[in-house]
Amino acid sequence: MKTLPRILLFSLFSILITGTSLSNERRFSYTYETSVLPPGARELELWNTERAGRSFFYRRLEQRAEFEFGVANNLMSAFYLNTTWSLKDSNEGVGGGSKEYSSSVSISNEWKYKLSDRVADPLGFALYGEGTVGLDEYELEGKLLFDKEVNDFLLALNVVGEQEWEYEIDNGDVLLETEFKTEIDFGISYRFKNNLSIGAEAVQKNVSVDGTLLHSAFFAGPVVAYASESWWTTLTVLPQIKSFTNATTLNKQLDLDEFEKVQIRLLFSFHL
Amino acid sequence: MNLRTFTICLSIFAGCTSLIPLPEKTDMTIVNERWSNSSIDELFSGRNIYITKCSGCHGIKPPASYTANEWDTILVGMIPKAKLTSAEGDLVKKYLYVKSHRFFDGGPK
Repeated sequence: MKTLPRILLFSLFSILITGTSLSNERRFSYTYETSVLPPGARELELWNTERAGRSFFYRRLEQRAEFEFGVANNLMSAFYLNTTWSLKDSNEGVGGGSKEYSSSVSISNEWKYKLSDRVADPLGFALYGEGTVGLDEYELEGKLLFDKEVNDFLLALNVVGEQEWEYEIDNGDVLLETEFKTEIDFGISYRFKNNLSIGAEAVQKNVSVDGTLLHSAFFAGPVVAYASESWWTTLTVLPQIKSFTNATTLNKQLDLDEFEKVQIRLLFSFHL
Repeated sequence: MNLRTFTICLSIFAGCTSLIPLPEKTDMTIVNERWSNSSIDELFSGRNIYITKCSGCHGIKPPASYTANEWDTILVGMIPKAKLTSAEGDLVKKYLYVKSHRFFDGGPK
């Protein structure tokens, strides 16, 4: 796997310049938690997501560098620099084409506001909004974040809605394509005494175009996380378990036109 | 499962007690033994700061998770890391001290 060294290099580079203060730790890679950085605190988060395996040759590496900062009590914001590299069969419908390489870059801004705490209140709840601007696409995303920490167990649930606008150029004509995506993320994690957490994440992804549900698939897999006083990391392996629409003929259980067989996400973060 | 864990679980599932309990007037006896002329408003402020600022880095622990002496040791390191001012740190210290003390020593004498 040629991209694995790149992922490790991108993440482990940060260990060399790690500070010595606390970080806003996460215990899941896909499921967000309600915790919010206190005012004045800053953090750098590095994301790596490897996506592989469609009905044709397809590999994709997404990397995000996120700068988070606390704005006020219970309110934080973040800026992202997003880069994506993909390698696929140029004749993606039936295969047999040549190697097609592409890349893209975009920037994002997120805001998160915590309304209740996952320990002090019966249920943690936060509102999350994110906007993304790229060369050929725009995205607006909203999330409802819920979580609850009970002793060493953490449960988290996200309800996500995302509107995407993407420009396509076809024979000189510029076409604007829109997609509406919804997602349910769920995670459960148990923390051991040494700050090592082990759990599972499940993600239900749905894609609609013009009000019609075209793709729907369920993913689930293990997550492992470790937090020290100055940095934390999470790793999730998320295979596609089942498609509820548009199962491909290659594998009737999975939708390999829109989604991949497996996603792997590695997060690494440290305080600034 | 030790007695501390069992008690915390029980309070959660009873659904009527916050794991981060509100200050009460009877807490003042305890807090004034260590810090004279303290007010109950200070304890409310300490609880609020604890919930708001300490939960940014990790899920906060119920005061009953540690003894008062253990909290003293923990807070020495945590107050600067959470970017609390000295005054904010003192308020958090008072709140955690009194609630931990009540849990382990059975409330005001």
